[in-house]
Amino acid sequence: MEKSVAIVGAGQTVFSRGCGQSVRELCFEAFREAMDGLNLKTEDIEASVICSAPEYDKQRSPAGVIAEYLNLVPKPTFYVETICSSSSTGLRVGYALIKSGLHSVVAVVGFQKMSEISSREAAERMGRGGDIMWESPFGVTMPAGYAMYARAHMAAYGTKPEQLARIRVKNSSYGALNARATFRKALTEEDVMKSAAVTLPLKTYDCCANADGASCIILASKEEAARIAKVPIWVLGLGAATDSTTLSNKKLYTGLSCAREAARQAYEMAGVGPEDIDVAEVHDCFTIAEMMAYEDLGFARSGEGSRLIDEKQTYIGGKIPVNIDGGLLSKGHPIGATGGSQLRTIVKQLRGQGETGQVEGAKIGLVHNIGGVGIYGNVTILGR
Amino acid sequence: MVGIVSYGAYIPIYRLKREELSRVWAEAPQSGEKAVANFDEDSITLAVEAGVDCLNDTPRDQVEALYFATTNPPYKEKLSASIIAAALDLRGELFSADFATSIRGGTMALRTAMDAINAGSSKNALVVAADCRTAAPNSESEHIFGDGGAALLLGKDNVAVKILDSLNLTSEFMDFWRTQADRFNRTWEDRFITEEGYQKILPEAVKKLMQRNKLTPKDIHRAVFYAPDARRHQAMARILGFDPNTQVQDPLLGAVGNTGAASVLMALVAALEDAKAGQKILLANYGDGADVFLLETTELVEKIKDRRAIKKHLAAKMALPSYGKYIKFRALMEWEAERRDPDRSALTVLWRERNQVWRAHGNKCKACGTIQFPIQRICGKCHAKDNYEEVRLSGEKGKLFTFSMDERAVVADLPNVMSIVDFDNGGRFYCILTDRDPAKIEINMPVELTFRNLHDGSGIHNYYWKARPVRC
Repeated sequence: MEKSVAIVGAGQTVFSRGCGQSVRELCFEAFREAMDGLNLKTEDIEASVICSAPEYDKQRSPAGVIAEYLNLVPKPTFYVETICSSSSTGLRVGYALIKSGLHSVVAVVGFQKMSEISSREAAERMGRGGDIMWESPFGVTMPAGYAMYARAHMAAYGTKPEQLARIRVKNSSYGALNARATFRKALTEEDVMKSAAVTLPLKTYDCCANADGASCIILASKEEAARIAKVPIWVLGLGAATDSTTLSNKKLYTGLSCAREAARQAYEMAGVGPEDIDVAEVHDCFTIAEMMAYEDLGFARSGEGSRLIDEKQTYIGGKIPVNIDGGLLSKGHPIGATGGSQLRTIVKQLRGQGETGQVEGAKIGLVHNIGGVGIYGNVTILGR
Repeated sequence: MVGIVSYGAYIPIYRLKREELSRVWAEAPQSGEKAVANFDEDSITLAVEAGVDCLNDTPRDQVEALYFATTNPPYKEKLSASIIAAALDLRGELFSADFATSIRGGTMALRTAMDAINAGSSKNALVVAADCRTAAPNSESEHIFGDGGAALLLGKDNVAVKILDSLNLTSEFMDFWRTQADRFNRTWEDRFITEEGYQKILPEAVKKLMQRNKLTPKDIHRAVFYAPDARRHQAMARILGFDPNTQVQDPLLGAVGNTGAASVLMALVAALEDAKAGQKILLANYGDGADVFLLETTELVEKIKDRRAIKKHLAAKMALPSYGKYIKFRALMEWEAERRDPDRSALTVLWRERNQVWRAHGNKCKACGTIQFPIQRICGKCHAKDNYEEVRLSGEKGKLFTFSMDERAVVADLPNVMSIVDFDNGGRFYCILTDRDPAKIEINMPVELTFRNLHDGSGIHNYYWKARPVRC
């Protein structure tokens, strides 16, 4: 188990529908929390990686304006993007910058402000994350994409809408406790089942919502980490994989191939298996996405993810607590900021500072962050 | 001798009961129903369907000419036949033309095709007539107009129906018309246009043809003739001297409606479905004059099989539940404005990808046989590079692999059903499912492709392929 790059600081803003801040102000707020309590001056950050999906706000090439606003000039900065998993990709890039010896401290800042455009425009931009020649012109949206997985999962394994609803019930119970979540109402199974159809079999409460927000992760080398932070959280395993973007070339519809491959890489690098994970954050952009994550990450065998939620094994106290901060379903999904927020939750859990409940003695945590309809898979394993 | 080698037809799946029109407009109820094109259909897509049916057992690259007739071409300027030819995957060295301003267009095209073959300029010719005429709300035409198409392949060899003679009249008579500015048809006073026009011009042409061939009405096995509506059809049978019970072909006015330029050819296809060898058929069309043909079937007419034609398309139908849906399908009202402009279409991209967009070509790896869509230069399975042939996927049958039903999409008919189709012979295709009953969609249901108008944007009709449950 290699401990060469650590997360020394993690921060995020409140996630909300329509914040009154500009993207640079959002980023600053996340950056400030990440820097809080660290033995680190802004000028000692050697590079910044700015992560978001383009075209949601008017700023082209946002890295420059964000680096300037965070006072990170004249250090190098640049922009990375893998849609919804942009900041997990940012973490991977930051890890490589440090591991290569090029830099010893790097800030990874993820942000998204989706309220500058209408929901319909946002849906259209999300759709354009898919193939713009053969798919998005027909009106494919994220829920339409994931609903196809839901149908296939139901057909293959007999998964029921009620079981998907239970995932939302669980996540909403933690979201109610999360002061930074967009949705803070605890929902019942009946609430979810009665909610309006979006793209059947997915209903309103099976879907996460667009949100505004930012996140920030500060990474440091082994040499610097101990000096900067009291409890560095080590990046033990990194996995990243890509599946075909075009839906017609995807083979698997009962799980995400990119997530399975990313998980395999991350487990191998960290030298651990699914049974060793104490707490996990998975990309629950839709309830079906969390169900598939159980199986893709090996927490359950294929087709048995529904049993995990039926038996409440993904609540705190269960075999593998998942999304105990409310998940994307409760927090909202400000695309570029989401991965950083997931990492922050696991960092807090491993430090014993859980905000919506604490998994006692958590030592190893996992983050699963997906870009597009199963295009970019990212799995990160963190440990004390 | 030149004649009809093959036939096909198409009737949209949706039917609107005339009693629904009567209910909406608080009028005395009328019987029957009319075929209504889906919101993604127009005269071009109807023509493609009829053409596919007709070319069921003809290699597409053998067709040498295409004549398309309609009164409602989707483009005022721009050849419709060129789009139909592409969707049918016909060859580039092709003569094509539109007949686009008269309800007599179907038989004008037939006569022209016949002459071309007789003259030797073309070995065969595909005649396709399709119409999708929108009637003004609460007009008499709204009850009468229906949508549909018919196709005839003409040639000199393997003739199923000989064309023994034809006779044509041209008349400047003004009975119904549309100016460039009109959306809906205009007509002159009813009794005048019937008594002075239709009931004089059509019988004159029929009489001349019959006399020239020394025939009397009893020599004709089936009389197929145009009529604006059912009442005038009965009257015309009497005028021409045919027994309505034994000799007159049902013009489909009750079950489909008046399909304009396609009307008489659809009735002819219906007649040919029941025809036996050695029968004489009179085909008479009207509009700005008249075209009449004397036809005689050969034994080959009984051998034309596996056509959906009229019978199967008539039987495979879905009810259009309300007038509201009808006006949405036919865009008869102005709707709430979109919050954003539709996407601009990139014609450069359309041109580059034309084989995939219009012709539904995928690629088949020559090394391992894997079929892919969209076309990939590198085989997804064996990674062979640039070693493939293009294959037409539009005729392939497949199964619905998975699907989703978007209730929030901006389309005229919710839910928008996104689907992934696995073709039985290989290949996976992602598209919209149309002509479907949302309550009956199931994984693994058999589906097929159909050419449709995906959306209108930037002043362009964007055609592409959708899937539908296998129609019949």
